[in-house]
Amino acid sequence: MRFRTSPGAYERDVAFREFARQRAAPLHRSAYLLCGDWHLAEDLVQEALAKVYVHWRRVQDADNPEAYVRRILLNEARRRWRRKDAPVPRAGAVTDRAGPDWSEEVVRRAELFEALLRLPAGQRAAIVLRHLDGLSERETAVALGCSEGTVKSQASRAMAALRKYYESQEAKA
Amino acid sequence: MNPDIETLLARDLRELTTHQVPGPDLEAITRRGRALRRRRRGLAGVGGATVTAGLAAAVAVALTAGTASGPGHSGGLAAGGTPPAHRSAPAPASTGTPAPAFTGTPSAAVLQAQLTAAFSKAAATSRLTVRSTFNGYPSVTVTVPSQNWQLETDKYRNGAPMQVKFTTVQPGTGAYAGVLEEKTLTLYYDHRQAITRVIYSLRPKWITHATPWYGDTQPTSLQHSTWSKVIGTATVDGQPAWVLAQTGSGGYHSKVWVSKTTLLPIKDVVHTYVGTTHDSYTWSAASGPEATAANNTPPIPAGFTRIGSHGPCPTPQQARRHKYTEWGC
Repeated sequence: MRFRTSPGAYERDVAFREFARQRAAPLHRSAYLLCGDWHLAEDLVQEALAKVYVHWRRVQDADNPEAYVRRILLNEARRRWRRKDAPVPRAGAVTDRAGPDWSEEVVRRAELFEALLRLPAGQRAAIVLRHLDGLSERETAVALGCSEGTVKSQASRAMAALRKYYESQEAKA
Repeated sequence: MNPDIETLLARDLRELTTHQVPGPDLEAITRRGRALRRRRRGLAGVGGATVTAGLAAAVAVALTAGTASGPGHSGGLAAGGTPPAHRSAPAPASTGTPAPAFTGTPSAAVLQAQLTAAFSKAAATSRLTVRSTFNGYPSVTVTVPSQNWQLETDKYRNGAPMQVKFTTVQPGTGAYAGVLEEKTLTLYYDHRQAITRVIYSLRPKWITHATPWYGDTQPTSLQHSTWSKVIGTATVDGQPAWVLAQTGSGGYHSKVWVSKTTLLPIKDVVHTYVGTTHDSYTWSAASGPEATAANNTPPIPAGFTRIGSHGPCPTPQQARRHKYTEWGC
């Protein structure tokens, strides 16, 4: 029960901007692995943060605002995946680095990225949350809105698929 | 799973995302956030206004003599000095016709419409006290829409005061219909020390409703639902009530208990991602002038510093250094 023009708006705005500044980069990285495109990832993060802004008062009061924003991001990504005209994720240009001959490494990473993007969306999300964001199975379950058992099975299937990639790399070596 | 592969994968995923990530466009994000918020509120308002207009004949329903006892929650405010609302408080002014008797279970749409209409009618004449807990944090909000003020008292879980906010809104009289000015006085409790702050917001506030809007007077549980159902009846504090359940996207679900007599909400429970809110609603007659701004405004302690009202907004750090601040930014 609050007036529309709620008091303390300035302080809340400052706090939100600080939160967004700190969390945007990690979210952007996760979103990139989920959708396979830096620009789309940026859109996802911006939309997720805008939605967080709408509910910022509650998010601030939450025990774990990070989980809230991550869940919004995943929902936003899911929403886009479900669209009929959603682009099929494809591995774009993988980050290159200046220096000695990195071509083999670049190719290897491109292959991994493709393998990752071939995974079903749920499995990919489980892998990204578990292994990039370092979430526990429980935290991943909360973020995905499913049970821990589902996370385990999704991650296990994804790892089985990715293991083939690693085994092929070993065979090449 | 092979832990080596897991380690390799974690390393590779980090490598894949070593791209220099651009900083967030905070202006664009907040602009979009404001637009989303406006759209949300606008839709809620338009829906409410339409329902209210469409059911004008049934509006009078709300506050029959049965309202006199309110939904049954009473008690004083923890802070702010506002006199308590009594169970036996007189009914809000009403000359309404009796509530229509439902012969069976009403549909959710009908019940929501009746509730919206009753709420709108009651807000015009009554004082509403909402006792809430959000994730265990209690708060009490008293709103008298007809006198354009609201007093909110937030507490820590242990009951210690967190902040007291008094807000009053004066309808603008300028060229812009619906322009409001807001004056907010907040008493923060920081390390047991009260910090008083007054904010005069001099920017015009646009309102999207056709009629002046003085408060978020609808229960949260009615504001965004994509699915509603009347799931039965219950008795709350001796009052027969309909139980309206709603679900929304992202795990949102709520229940609101609506008095069969007054068609006003008695209590609700709202679950979202971030926590659970319990609200209980108490209606009583709007008090006289003694309960308005002057009485609720905490005194400004001697020796406090006032910041010019036309300067730039202070940062939170600057604001903390001043015991009393006033600005219009």
